[in-house]
Amino acid sequence: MLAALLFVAATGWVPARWTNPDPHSLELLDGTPINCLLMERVTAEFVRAAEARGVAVLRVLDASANTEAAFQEIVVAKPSGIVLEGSPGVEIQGRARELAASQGWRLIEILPRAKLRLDVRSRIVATNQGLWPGIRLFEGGAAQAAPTGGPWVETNAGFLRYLRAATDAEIWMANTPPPKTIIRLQGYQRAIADAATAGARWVVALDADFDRRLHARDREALADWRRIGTYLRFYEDHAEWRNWRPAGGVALIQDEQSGALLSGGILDMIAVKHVPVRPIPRPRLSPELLRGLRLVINVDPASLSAADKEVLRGFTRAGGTLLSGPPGWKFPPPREDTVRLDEKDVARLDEIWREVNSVLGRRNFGARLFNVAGMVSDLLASPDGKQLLLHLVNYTDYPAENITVHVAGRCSNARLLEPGAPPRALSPYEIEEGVAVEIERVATAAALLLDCMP
Amino acid sequence: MTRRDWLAALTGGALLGNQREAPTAPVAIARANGYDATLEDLIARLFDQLGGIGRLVKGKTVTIKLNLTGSPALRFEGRPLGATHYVHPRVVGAVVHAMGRAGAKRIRLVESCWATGGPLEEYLLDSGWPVRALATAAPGVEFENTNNAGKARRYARLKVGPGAWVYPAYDLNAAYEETDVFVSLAKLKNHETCGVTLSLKNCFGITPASIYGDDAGRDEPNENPTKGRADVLHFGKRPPSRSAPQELDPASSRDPGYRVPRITAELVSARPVHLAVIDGIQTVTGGEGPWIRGLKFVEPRVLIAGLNPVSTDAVAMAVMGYDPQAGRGVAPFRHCDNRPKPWVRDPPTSHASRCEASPSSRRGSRSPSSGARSPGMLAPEELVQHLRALPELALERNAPLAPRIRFGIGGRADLYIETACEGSLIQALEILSRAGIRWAVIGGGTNLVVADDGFRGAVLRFRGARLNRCGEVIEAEAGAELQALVDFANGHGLAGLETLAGIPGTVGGAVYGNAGAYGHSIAERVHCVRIWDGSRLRWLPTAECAFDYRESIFKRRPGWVILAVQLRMTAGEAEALVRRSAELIALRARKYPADMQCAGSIFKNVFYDKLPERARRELPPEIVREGKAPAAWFLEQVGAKGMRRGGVQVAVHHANLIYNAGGGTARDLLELIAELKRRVRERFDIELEEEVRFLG
Repeated sequence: MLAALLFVAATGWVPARWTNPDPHSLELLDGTPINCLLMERVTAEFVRAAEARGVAVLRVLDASANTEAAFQEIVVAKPSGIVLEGSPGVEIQGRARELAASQGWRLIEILPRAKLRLDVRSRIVATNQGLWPGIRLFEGGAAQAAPTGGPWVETNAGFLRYLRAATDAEIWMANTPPPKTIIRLQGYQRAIADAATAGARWVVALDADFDRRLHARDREALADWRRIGTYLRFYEDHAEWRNWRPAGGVALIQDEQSGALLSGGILDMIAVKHVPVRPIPRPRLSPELLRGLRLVINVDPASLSAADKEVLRGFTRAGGTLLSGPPGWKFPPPREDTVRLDEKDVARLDEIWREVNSVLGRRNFGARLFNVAGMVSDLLASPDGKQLLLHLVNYTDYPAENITVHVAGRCSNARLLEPGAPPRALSPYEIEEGVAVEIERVATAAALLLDCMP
Repeated sequence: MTRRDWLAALTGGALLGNQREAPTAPVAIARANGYDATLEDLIARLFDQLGGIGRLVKGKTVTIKLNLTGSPALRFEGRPLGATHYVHPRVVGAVVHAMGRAGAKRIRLVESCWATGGPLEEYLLDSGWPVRALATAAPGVEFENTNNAGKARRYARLKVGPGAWVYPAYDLNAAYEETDVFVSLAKLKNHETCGVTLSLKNCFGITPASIYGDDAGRDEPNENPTKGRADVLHFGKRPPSRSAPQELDPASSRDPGYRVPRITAELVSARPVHLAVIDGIQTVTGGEGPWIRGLKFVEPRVLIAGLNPVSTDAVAMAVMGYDPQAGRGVAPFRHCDNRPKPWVRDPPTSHASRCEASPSSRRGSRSPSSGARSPGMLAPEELVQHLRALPELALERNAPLAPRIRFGIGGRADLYIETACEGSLIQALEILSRAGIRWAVIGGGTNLVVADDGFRGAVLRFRGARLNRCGEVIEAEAGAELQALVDFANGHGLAGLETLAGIPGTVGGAVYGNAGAYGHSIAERVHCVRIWDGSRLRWLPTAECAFDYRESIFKRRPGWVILAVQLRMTAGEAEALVRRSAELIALRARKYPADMQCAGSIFKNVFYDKLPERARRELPPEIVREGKAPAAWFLEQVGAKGMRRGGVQVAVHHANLIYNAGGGTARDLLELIAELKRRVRERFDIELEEEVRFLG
């Protein structure tokens, strides 16, 4: 069961949305790991040129597609597959499925979060509903006149981590940059890291202006594109990390009916506190998954089956702590147009969050991080348990400096890996709760790799 | 600066043995270029100039109250906390090191950390501090979060003594009692409520949130506080835990400007300060932390230390350019009493005597009087006094500019001066020029963008607004609202300005930018302009004003100040003029809503005959008016409508209208402008020109 849960295809397509049907535009892929292009218009010439480079071309069909023309184009161009995005009509869906089956092409569905089907054996689970990773700005004017806490991080990480735990498929986050917004290079790097650190892939999508400049071979755009490629390459070079399991002594039981498909929920809240937490999809709840945990949070006690309750009873009898949401407490069912918890739900969540926060306190459930406001972290363990990996993503526009990590347990070597930089050896030192490591600087994303001792 | 740099410097630093006889209760100032390797040497020298600290600390327990305001998660402009509103760890390390060298037995670093009862070490790690290096900077270093009972598991009751206003005594973490020497290690910065945060105000933070916090226990302390202290101490909305001494007079003022200074004085009286050290190397002005609007980063580059906190703070205030004796309503004490005078009349500290700066230390530092010309420092006191002596002149120091301009963004000006008296304005300009202070005169702030860092110098606004008519000539002072002038002209049946109705701003601003609309501009009516050219007053005939589309000679002569204008009108029918203006106002209000934080059109329209061929080909001819192509059309073609950067956005209904949608910064605005210009340049080969003026 555990093996099945943790299995994620180790390699696969590295996707990008592509607007330019000129075969020469494929030269831009040199130096990047992108090997799969999602296009709204394809030609046979382009498909052949792409295939010659080992690049798959997928024709996107969405609700606005001109059915006849689109299918004629597909039949002529013979792409590697078809992507159904959003909610194309039933007729389009049917024809696309039929065509893909008859030709042996891949059919990928990019769905609203609420429509994702995690129980079927899709090879790729994809959604285009995502938050653009960064720091949420204050709405309505001035910053609050009080020395309040840290900035609010916009991230898809919690949602994606749940997907990773709930499905064996590869996961694509196919959201696009917010329209009419100036996106800096770091914005793209964050989007890549936000998905990759959760074991998913962001479908590279450039804002219209950058896209135009890139295809016009603008010097600055090319330089930024190379740096985007470096970030993609970094996570593809470490594709094995997708098979590593979430580490830490806290678990959160969730399912699609209890907010797991929304961003900004408890998983994200705990992650922003930098407490390592393992998402456990309720249908996969088992004694094996609870082994080694000290605290289990179950936000929706009403959804538990008798068997689930027995598993949790066993956990508490063995000394574990179970923290349940209030009786009758229930998230609204997921809606197609909803990506994050609304303010009303957040206010309701506060009821359980206060308790979670108080139980978490300052205890070390695997790792504690300091000076990391505006960052999100995720602690993973290698399948053999000999290494720990701490993903770090900085959502602010400024580099994070002087970070300290307290790791529970014994670790010897520590290395900091960053996209485009050689690995840096760090010097762990012993502290009461285990070892501490100091990291001087993280620009946008990094990974701390620790060798554990038995 | 990373911890590695810090460690290297700390271990590499050396104390200089520059022993000299120090005066009693002196205040020493040193110039410091940064938080670098020379800091330990500087601190050691400062202490030497105070007479050495050996006799104060040798064999003693020393408690150092740090100044760590607000959550460590909240940064200003992404800078390290120590460079803005926290005392810098390197200064702390150097002080600790010096204490250790002087023979201190135990050095306890303390602070009541914001909204937590957790260990101080972890709070410091969250602040990016090198805790390990600090712990080894001297023998016997300890850390204590005094937000609760802490390691001693008990509170000490420290009495204020006679003359207390608010509380007769305070229950504090026992570290404040179990010490031989108490040091206040503060940041040189402003404070929204108290005017300044220096070594005295720093002591406000010795109170534990467990008792004085918003979530303090009702009866007993809450040992896990998670909130600040505003409700109890600032506003007096609720009492402290009943276990602690209660207010002397619950009916006394709830105004924070009354309470906070008095409570601070009481705390210093209860827990006297033996040594005050103020970190003014890098800091912020305008408030105590990033949650205050209009904050700006500055580098005064000074370290100040003294054996008497009152004397030390008084010198620090002079360094900041303030009068330490200033009363309520005078900057920086705009909202608070600076008259809990016991600390001036009858200082509560045990070491208070006289305040004098060590001559040698002054030689080594930037003196307050030259501060106005040093980066980040305010104008000197003498200058301010001269200005204040001018009739009908209001002056504010470190004044926020954002509320004074329609965009609602930007930082503060060192000085902000307003007067309706032409003579005072000119005299003020002369005083400022003689003193070498940079100045700028603004109008209504409608077409102005102020930098986030504000304006280093004086910003002046002429408020003279008289309107006179002589036949068909109107004379208007520059400070009059343009709409008032239009109404005046319309009401007197004088035609020629009615199309300017609804344009916000002043008459002076309109002349400066040759404001206009619907094919007409104010230049058509200008007969002559009264100006101050830096040496004399004169009337400039319209021919010499070089008016052009949104242009005038005044834009190229920054030293000239527009004071009044004479306009030659033609006779018209008052009722028709008023009606025409009303129509235009309604039309304009749809385009530029009155409450929108914007500067009207951002870019000038483009002369058709100057358009490159590429642009002409695409431009629909019917939109060309009076020989100009609207900038909005080009912007719309490059997708400007609705475009956003941070809190600044292009209007969805008008591509040449950028507004502050909330929380916008000048940086956001400039980036958005640059992006729009780039797009238009690339697509049409046109260089759009800003209509707005930039300050700072």
